[in-house]
Amino acid sequence: MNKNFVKHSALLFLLCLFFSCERDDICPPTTPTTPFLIIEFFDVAQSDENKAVQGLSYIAEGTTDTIPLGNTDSIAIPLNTNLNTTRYQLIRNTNNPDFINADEVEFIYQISEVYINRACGFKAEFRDLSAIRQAENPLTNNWIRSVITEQINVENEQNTHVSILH
Amino acid sequence: MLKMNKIHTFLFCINLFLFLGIDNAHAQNDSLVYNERFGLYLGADLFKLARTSYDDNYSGFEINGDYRLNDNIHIAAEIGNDNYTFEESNLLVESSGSYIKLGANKNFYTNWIGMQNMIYGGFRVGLSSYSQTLKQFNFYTIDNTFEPEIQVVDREFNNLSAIWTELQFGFRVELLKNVFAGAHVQLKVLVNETDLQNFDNIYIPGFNITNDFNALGAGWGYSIRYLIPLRTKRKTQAINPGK
Repeated sequence: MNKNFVKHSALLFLLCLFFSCERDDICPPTTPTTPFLIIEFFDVAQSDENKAVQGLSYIAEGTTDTIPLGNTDSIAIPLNTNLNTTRYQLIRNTNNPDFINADEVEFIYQISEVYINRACGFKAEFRDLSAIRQAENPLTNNWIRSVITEQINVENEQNTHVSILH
Repeated sequence: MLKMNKIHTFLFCINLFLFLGIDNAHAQNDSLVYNERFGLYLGADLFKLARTSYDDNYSGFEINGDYRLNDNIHIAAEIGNDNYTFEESNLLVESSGSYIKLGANKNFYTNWIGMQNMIYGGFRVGLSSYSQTLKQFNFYTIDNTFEPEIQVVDREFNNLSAIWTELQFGFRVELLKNVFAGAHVQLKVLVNETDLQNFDNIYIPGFNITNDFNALGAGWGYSIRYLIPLRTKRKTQAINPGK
């Protein structure tokens, strides 16, 4: 048997093996996918001044977990891609039973599908965003004074989409 | 599935080596004379047939042919049909269509007299006409507060086409008279494809799976071919006892 033929065939055989291994695509964490909603908190008395919320936490509609965020003037929360609306309980003074106060905010939007790539598939972008604070009776029970939609479309996480005055 | 591929590859290559010894040259006086057969090789791809039977997400076939022009050059063509379902956690996509590849192979192997085996490299231009259906998807999100539901859309993309160039490397061995078995690998560069609105060509029949990063593709095949001899050419080789 010709040695050269065997050598070349063996090489090709190895190549066959190499091509048998198909890599599964994995969506890299650095790829921007479905964006979070960015909310910034401002002082109602001076609306260009950021004002941190003390002991902030939230409960998403349909869940029972209270997610603590601490003292912060900016948060990122997910919107539900299965519905055109997402409700959140935003809770102030979470760990202080005397001053704890939960306000409900509803976000309403249209969902558009945006193809990213094979590994990540599709992401959702949110259009025609509006945000409504549920009024309580009396109104002074609301710790949130005003909700302002800054960006009507939620396409990325670079800008603040909603401002909340308190 | 991957494991099965490897086992098949392995068994196939082992079989090939077992049959390499066939030698049908005969001695006449003090030189070997052999009528080398020239003609049309016609065959089918075995890998696609095998995959059709074991892979629920694939069905297809390929018919191939090549014509030996002279000692080393074969003009070659393949036609085939591929139906493939791409099924990942975020995407379910069906592709189906037909393709044709045209080109040539060059044999780099110097046979002992009486043998017509090949180790070859080849070049092809491939053309595919196909359609794709986005059956369903999930929105990709890194947060699991709201588990994304499956979006069933059944969105069709029809009248798609693609062109690519392809390099092939392979070998071919005569197992029985005029019956050849072969294996080859394919390296491809996508030249042009129909652009899709808010989607991508996930799988192109003939080209195989595409990827997110570049225009490269790969494939392989195992073929069985029958040689229809159309003419012969007399070859002689002196017997040299010192060799």
